[in-house]
Amino acid sequence: MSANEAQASILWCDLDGGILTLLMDDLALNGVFAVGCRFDDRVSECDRALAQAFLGDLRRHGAAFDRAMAVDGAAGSILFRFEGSRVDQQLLITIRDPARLGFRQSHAVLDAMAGLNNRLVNRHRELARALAGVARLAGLGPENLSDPPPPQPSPQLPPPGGDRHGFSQREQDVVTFLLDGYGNRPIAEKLAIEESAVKARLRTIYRKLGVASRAQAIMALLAAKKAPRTL
Amino acid sequence: MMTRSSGKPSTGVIAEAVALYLLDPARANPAALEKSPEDILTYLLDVLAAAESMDSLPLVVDYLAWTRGLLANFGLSADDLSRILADMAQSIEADCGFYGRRLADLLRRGWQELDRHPSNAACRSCAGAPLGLIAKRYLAALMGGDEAAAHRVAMESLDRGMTIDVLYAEIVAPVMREVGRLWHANRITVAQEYYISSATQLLMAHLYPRICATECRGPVLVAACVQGELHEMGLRMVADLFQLQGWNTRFLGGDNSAMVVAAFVDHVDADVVAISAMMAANVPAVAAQIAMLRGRDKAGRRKILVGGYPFQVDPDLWRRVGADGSGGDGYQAIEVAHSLLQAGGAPSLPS
Repeated sequence: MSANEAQASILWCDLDGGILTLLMDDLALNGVFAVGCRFDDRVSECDRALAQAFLGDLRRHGAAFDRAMAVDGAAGSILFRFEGSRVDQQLLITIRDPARLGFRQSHAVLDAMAGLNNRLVNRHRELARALAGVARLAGLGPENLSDPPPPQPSPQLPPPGGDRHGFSQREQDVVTFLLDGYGNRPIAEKLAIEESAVKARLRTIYRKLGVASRAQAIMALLAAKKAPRTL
Repeated sequence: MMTRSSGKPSTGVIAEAVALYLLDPARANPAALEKSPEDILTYLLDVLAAAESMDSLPLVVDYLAWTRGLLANFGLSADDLSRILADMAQSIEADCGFYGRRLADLLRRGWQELDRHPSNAACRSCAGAPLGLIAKRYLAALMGGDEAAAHRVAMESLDRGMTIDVLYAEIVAPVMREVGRLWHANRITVAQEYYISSATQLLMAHLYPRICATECRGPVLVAACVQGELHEMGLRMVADLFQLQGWNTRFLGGDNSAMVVAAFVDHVDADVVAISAMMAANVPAVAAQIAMLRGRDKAGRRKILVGGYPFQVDPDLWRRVGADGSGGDGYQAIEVAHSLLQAGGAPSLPS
């Protein structure tokens, strides 16, 4: 990797060309940015017309946050122009016609972009999973989701004798205190069990709800309580 | 990557020799300039180290076939490459002592093995059936930079009754293979390759509301690529197939540290863990990840699958990395996972 590549950065701008923010964490890119500085100030004179054209595109399309460029932080030249698409508040980035822009090769920027894309798609996947789980808990059919579902294999039936989540009595006890805002230790004291046992029950509860965190579990449980078919 | 203590040989002189071919103005083109000969040969050293530690000659043979095809596109003959590799083997031997002799021996055996095949024999990643009609339309749209048109091709197929798993098998996977082949043949740049991948990721993102509409009360699957592995689309498709079959899937994507994966697997109490690597040099990381998972699963209840290109190149490799099984594609992986759980007395397989 050349020194120039090490200073490549991805800029995110508003319609006036002011740098608002940039996602630098884990991008394997170096660079220091002052929020509020001008977009075109970061670009060398020879690339300024291109930067202005880019800003013009932003205005015409009326999208402030779904466009970005990669700029060589040392030389100020434009490496790539990215375009993005919104998917439920998430942003996915693609490179637009890099050859025509006369880009210079930068695998570091490409890898960073791919890594950013991957994380955004993963977040979108988790979001879709959580929304589908909440919709099911709330008694909404799949027709209420944003896209119609394809025919799918028959889901496994919940275990007999339990509630709609398949919680055991002890798990249901933990859920009750969880929704009352108790932490793990107070729950353990209330139920006269070890704190590790509470954690184990919570892991099972998360799994049955199809969620990954305490906050998501509470959100899912509250959504289910508000639904016509309650717990 | 080989450690310093093992005496990593220099590839500078060899890379310079190859560069004379690749950077010859008569041969230079934009696609050639992004293929660094030093990168290619440095990576060969990583592949040799991985293959040596995993006792896998097929990994070396396949990478050499890939390299031979790539460099042939720039006018480097097989005879020239043979001389360069012979020099490289000598250099490794001279620089790295006993370990170097083992690597050099592996390199020579790999080249001799490849020499028995026709000179135009392709590596596995460049072989495969031609694209179907819909896949061709999808790729043509993306080659023209029109992801909206490509997405229409895919969504119209779904509207006509194609299921998501078939869309993956007949459009997404073959197109991504073809893109790799086109890059190898110097017909597209790496930036175009990334553009097509990104546009395909966008398509997949649009499918998630449909995929996740499947109620998942089955076993818990955690799917992750090992550290350093950025190629995650194949495993993403596998995870989605599991999800469509009612499994509760958690996909961690590419480049995960072993500790993060192990902690997450414990956190969600996974029944099955699917570990993937696409690059041969990352296979030792798969073995290390599995060793860590085994060390934390004292009861031995958890099942571990592996997948990715190296495990297709060397069909027995999964045993040597310590996995419980492997699947050539997503469907096979699901079958293997079901068998493993049933053999282990798991009660809650989805129908």
